[in-house]
Amino acid sequence: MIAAGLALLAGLGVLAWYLQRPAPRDLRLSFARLLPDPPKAPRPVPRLALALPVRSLPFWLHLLVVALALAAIWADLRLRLSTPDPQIGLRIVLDVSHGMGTVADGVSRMNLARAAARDEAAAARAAAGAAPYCDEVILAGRSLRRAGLADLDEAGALPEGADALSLLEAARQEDAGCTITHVTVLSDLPAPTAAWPQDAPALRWVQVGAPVANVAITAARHVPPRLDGTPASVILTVDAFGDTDVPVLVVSGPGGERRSALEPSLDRPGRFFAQMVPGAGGAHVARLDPGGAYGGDDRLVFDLTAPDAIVLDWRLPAVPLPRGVRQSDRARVSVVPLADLPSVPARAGVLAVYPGWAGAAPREIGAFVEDPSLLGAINLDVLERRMPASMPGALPPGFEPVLTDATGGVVIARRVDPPGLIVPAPVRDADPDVTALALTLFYSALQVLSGGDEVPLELRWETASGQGVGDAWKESDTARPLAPAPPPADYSAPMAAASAQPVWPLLVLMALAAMLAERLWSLRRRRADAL
Amino acid sequence: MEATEPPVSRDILRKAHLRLRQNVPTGGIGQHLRRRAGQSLEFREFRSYQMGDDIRLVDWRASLRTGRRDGRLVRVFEAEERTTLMIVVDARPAMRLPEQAPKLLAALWALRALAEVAASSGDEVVLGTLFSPRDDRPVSARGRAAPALARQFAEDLWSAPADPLDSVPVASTGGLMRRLRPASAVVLLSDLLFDDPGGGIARFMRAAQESWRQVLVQRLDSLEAELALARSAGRLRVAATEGRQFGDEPTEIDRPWEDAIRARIGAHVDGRLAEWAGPGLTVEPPMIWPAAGGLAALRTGFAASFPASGLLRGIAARGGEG
Repeated sequence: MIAAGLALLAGLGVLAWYLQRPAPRDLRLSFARLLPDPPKAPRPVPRLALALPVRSLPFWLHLLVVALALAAIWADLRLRLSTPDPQIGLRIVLDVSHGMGTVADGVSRMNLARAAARDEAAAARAAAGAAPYCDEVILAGRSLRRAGLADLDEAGALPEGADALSLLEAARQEDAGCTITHVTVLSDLPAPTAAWPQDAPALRWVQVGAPVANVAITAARHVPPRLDGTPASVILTVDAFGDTDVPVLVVSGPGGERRSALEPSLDRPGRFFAQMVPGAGGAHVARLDPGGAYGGDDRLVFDLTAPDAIVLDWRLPAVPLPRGVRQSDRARVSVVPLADLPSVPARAGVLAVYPGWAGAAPREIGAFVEDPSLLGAINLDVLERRMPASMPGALPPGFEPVLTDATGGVVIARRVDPPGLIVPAPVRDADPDVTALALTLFYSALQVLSGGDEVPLELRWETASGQGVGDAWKESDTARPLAPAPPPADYSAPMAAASAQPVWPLLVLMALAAMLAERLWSLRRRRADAL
Repeated sequence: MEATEPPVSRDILRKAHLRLRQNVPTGGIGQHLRRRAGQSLEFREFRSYQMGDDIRLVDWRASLRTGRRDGRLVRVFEAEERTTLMIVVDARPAMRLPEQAPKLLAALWALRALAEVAASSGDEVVLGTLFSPRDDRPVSARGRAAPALARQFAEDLWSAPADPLDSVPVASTGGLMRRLRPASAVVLLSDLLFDDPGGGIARFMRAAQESWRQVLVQRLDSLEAELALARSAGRLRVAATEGRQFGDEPTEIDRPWEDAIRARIGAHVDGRLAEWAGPGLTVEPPMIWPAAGGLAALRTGFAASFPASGLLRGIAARGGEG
């Protein structure tokens, strides 16, 4: 209504503009001095002329520009460019991830999905009747593959895990020959809550497969050895989905086969952890006995290549070698007095110490860098009361101050690459605060350089037959409740919008063309007048 | 290309020579044949030998044909002499109209073309203006210097800022009058629409015809072209011109009004020419402005018509076509 009103006003404006009597043209005539007096007009000439400008080409062109511009702005018109006639284009996205091979009651989820796909295609074809119809199948795992309905029988579950995003990506693929009006996704995953675009083909998500209980080895991580002598270990995560008994975890490796006890997680029901100390490095296989309904996640293969102890080049005779540390001249980290720093290989990490605690005295802390791994265990108030002396001499090349005293003397310094730290040497002093500060700071620095964080392992899931399954943990949850079937697709109203193109760019283009034509016409007219 | 360079083949101009009226006085030996005996290769007549005649001029064959012993005849040739060409251009602001094809520009084309012709004859050329807004002193040159002078004169006049159209032009003919030579021809290039309230121009034009001088008037007529322009404009407001004010009231062009304009202008031009009438006055057919096509059409028309025009043919020894 508003658009109609505005269009009417604009049209009247253009009409009034053209109804105006053109202003007299100023003209210079060489014989004007000899002109007779111009005839007097009997009455004032009205500003508006009654004659309609039906013969004025610019008038019609201007009117056309206004009409097209208004139509482009307000009219929500759609123009079917690619499919002039109603048609149905059905895209079936079939989940072919490994979990679709899960069998329940003698029927695999893949078979259920195939049957549903055929039913969907039949319903769409019947709804199309005599109208044009086309369909296509996209087999979606981690990768996508186009196929036809005839290929459904050969489509099987692939040894790879996938998620709902892969299926959505398949649903939004560009049309290839078939103009898609409807999309049906068949998967054992529930429909995601992601918003589906308004202008996209109608989406129907059908979940197949009744829930079945499953247990799975879902993760494993390596815990490196500790300075206190705690050996390296492996922590395996076992998840149980649905109502199932706690299985037995068996780990076999170069050190033999052993059963690992599963400890329930404190914060997550259905999750268990098993920690094992491997006897030796090499390939290990963890398996569940018995496995769950889905067999792709019952066997996990991983390699242990990390060292089982901390190795350092320890050159501090006054400080005893920690229990969990092994001495080696070729270690990647050296622990040396500051004076011996030049003797450390250029590419090796280094912890250099200097005798700073002998001069410990109350001094204010100057500028320092917040470094939780290094200073997190240090009470800075206590440190200010027992401030060690700053390191002697200039900072070695590559080191930057981490903590300074109020006079600018460097107490702690760090080098990024290769990693290096300079701290006061550990001492045992009569003052327990000094001893505590010295030991805490030294061993914190040692822990930072010896790298004690947990590291993930390269994991590979296998089926019982030895076939590798990528990201099998994504398929482990087979106990998801089955969502009720969505209502049948509405094929009675073909989705014209999905295959239509918006018409406003065309209208704008036409308006610009009309404007250009008017300008060219005026230019030609002006040139003709000039001549 | 300069704006004032005439759109006429230079070859045509170089082949032409001034052919002034054969009975006007001249300034001595030159290239113009006169109706009197003199030195040239142009045969004039036979006459009886008189004492003092150059014996080499006796035509012995013709003398024998007389059958008398003392009947010696001598050959008499036409005198070949120099003369002066004065070209006067009307430089009123209104001469810069119509804006698409100014009359002043065509006048300057003609001026430079005539100067080129005069240069090839070795004659003196005097260039001056009527209603010159600034320096009204004529300039002159002889022979080969004439085209360069004409070029400078025309370019300066064309590029000089014009006075407002509504200003009243004042004629100044004193400088021109002083440069009139006994043996000369005066060419006036104008639309003849100016006013001459003090009669100064008429006095000059009559003086220019005295002593057997020749005056050629070339009228530049853009009336119909400007009327066509006015018709296409429909309603128009005429700009104030040469002291005449028209106010803001628009004017409607109609046929009676156009006829009235034609009648008034025709009467004005006839009256002007009548004031100048004399034995040496020659009024060439007017140069008519093209109704459409602007400057390009004017240039084309000038190139086609000028070589055959009465102006060039009237003063060129071998005719405009060469």
